[in-house]
Amino acid sequence: MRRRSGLRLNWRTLAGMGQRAVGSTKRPVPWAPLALGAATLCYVSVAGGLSPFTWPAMVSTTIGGLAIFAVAWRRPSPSTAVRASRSGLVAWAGWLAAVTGWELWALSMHPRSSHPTLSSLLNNLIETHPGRSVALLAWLGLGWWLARR
Amino acid sequence: MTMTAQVAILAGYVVLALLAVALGLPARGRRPYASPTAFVATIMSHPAGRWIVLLLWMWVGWHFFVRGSD
Repeated sequence: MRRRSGLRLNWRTLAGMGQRAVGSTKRPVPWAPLALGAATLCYVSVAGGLSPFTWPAMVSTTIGGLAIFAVAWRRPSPSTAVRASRSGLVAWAGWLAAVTGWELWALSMHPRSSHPTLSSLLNNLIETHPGRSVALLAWLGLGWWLARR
Repeated sequence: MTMTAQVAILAGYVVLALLAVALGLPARGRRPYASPTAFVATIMSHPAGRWIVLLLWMWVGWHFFVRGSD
């Protein structure tokens, strides 16, 4: 039995040819990143208006966290970025230990108004709806960056 | 006394921030192996380190947006 050779045409191939012929000089619109950006802005504008200690705040933060975890789960390969040298590791680990120690020392002292922690200082910035939305966007951005490492 | 403590704590944070800048600036271009990005990349290169960092990130979000802080 002879096998038929040649192009297999279906409706998708034809549609693609039509698109290329009509818009051959235009660059394709990156719909996926645009949709993701729009969804993220909607998310931070809504979630930024929620008060702490409420169920909606808990659900919205969990959704944001799970979305980033899903990105991290789909990218299990180890990072190919530049790794730190031994001195770099020691320096940044020491800095991190110093920040943690200073923060814990301030946390152990009272009253909070005269012994501010990083959390209490940042809390003043995220009290308002816009401030909270910007903080949420920064948190998601950091998570996105970490998940793609 | 309380004012002095407040100023001392805030000065500590400023010093730590300046120290981070001082550590990070020479790493730009000349010493990429000492940058904070390289530090994070090294930790994230281990599967356990990667998930610990992501869990810490999740805790930060929970701390500020769900639980709040005093």
